[in-house]
Amino acid sequence: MYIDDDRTKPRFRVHRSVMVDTEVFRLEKEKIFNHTWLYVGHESELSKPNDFKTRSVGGRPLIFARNNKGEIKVWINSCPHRGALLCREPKGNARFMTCFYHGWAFSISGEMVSLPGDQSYGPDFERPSLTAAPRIDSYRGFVFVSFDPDIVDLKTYLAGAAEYLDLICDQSEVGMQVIEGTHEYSVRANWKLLVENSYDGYHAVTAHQRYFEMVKAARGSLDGSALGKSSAIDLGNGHAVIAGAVSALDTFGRPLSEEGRREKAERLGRLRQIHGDAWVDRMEGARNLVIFPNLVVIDLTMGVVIRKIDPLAPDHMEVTGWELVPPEEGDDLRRQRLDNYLTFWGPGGLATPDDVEALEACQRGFAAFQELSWSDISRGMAKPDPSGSDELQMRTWWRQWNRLVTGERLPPEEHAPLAPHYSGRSILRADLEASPTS
Amino acid sequence: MDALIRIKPARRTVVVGTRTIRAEQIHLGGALRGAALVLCDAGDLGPDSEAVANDLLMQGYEPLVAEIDGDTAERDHRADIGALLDVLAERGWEHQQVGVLGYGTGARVALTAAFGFDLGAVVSISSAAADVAAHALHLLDRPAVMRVPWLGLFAGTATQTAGTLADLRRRLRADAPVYTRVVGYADGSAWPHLDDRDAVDHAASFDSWQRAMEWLNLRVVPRPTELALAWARRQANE
Repeated sequence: MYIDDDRTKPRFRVHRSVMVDTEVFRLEKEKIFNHTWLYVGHESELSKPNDFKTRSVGGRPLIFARNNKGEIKVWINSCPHRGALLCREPKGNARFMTCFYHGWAFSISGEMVSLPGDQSYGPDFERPSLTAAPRIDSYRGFVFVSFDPDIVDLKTYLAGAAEYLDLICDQSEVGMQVIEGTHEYSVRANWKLLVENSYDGYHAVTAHQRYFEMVKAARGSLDGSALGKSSAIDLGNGHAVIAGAVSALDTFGRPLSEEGRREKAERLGRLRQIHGDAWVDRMEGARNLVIFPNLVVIDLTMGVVIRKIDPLAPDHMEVTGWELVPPEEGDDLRRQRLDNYLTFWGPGGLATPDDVEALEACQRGFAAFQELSWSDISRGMAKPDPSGSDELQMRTWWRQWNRLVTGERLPPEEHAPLAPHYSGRSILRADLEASPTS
Repeated sequence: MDALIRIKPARRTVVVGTRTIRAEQIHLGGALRGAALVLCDAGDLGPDSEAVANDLLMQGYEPLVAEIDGDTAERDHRADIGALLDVLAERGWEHQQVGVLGYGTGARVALTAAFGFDLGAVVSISSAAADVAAHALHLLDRPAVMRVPWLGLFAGTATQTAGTLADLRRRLRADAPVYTRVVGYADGSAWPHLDDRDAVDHAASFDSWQRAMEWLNLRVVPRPTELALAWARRQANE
């Protein structure tokens, strides 16, 4: 048994063997990463025809590309001939890719364009194309693949998480864009620890004291009240979010200039006209969203971070982070966003190193998992309305993990209905959904 | 002693209306990858252009090197390019199978080609960054759009033109629907086609040639072999 989900006490525990066991790691690859939708990248990363990025997703090398016609393609990055990586660059622009091993060449649309000395293969040789990921789909610019050809469609899979992507994507009138530059780092810890950490409100004040000291120094004071005013929400299919009920604008990051504040207010005013107050009130709150199994989208209003977590071994993960921005924002807002991206989220920033140290400390502690076998994730189980500092969001994730790995279904928790704040909808989206499609 | 054995290009004249263009070609048998149209200044046909033509051949590109008159109007330059592409078409080269390299005046004309023809790829190589950048901005201001991925390689771009190139990069990123790249080499007052004894110029020359060839290799559509054509026909009929 990996999960102890006791509603009578109540108590929720995770067996620490899942953090160290190579057999569990193998099961995760087979049962989770082969049968879920996995994030590849954002469409805006491929702004021009023939742009490409190479990515590792679910342990597979992939080419994430926009072809000459502007279509998004995701190819297995392996030459159909003898298997070498077809593209060895992290990014670029190319209409054709040539394998450096034997020179077989393919267009970014997937067709073979040439192979040296083709006479030796004869006229009936079946010329292979590139192999696509079995399923590719996108939602609001977020592109996912699945290696399960029979998986449900992406929108169904995303369930309630789609609404939280909408809240983020609607922050731009022209479409949110990922800006150039990524954070890439590895952590000597199990990948699931960073999933937990990414929406663990409980650790913020203790582990990130140094960051909040910086904020206090920059602002003269710190209003931490926004941290407590949040809810943990089960979004279905293992996805969950901790969502702030009020603006966290004055909690995180360096203070905005007057000009920045004015522009922000104007931007929000325009968004209110487009989407209505209820939706923009929600938009102004912070949110930490985890889309099962390994996509994190964190919107602390000072910036939106997309984080992809890739397991390498039971005790080793790679992390890639991108910043998602409204491209129409002015210099002051962008400056604050970039500053926060670096000082809070950066691998050398004031917060991420704390998290890395905490996760690696956990992993070292798990060496004694046979003597001390269980980690506790019970916080908030007894409360009618768990907050972001509780752990409902992690339990939601673990129950889906447990269902996929063991086949055992653990029912979701019953809690009080969410506050009305969380039911606000965009009037624009409601209009679009009501209007007949052609 | 130069150890390289070079093929001497054949001279020819291309007639464009009432004007003529001096050009050089090398025809080889076998299956070359693509064609390269090299645009250079009037009077530049000689040892340097011969070296460029031979180096292009070594990369699998059938070269056509042509002298461009810098005093000709832009619309005449478009006619010049059209006529030169017709010369390549006589050899079976389709526009997408052609890469254009423009040196000197040819750098500006190559840019014009990127707006007027559906070519495989275009490279401009110049020591007059401000002039080419101004031409690019002028073209971007017009309704016509850039149709071909364009690489600009500029020598002698120390402080006075760094801002110009930065502006050009921003504008291209925003307004060019195709991929572009602008590279500046701080040193070197004149552009060496291939080589120079000065170490910095030599490094710039080597780097720019490498970039130009990679630009073409990644974008110029390879000419299909007979077997590839037969395969395509079979696929279309299935």
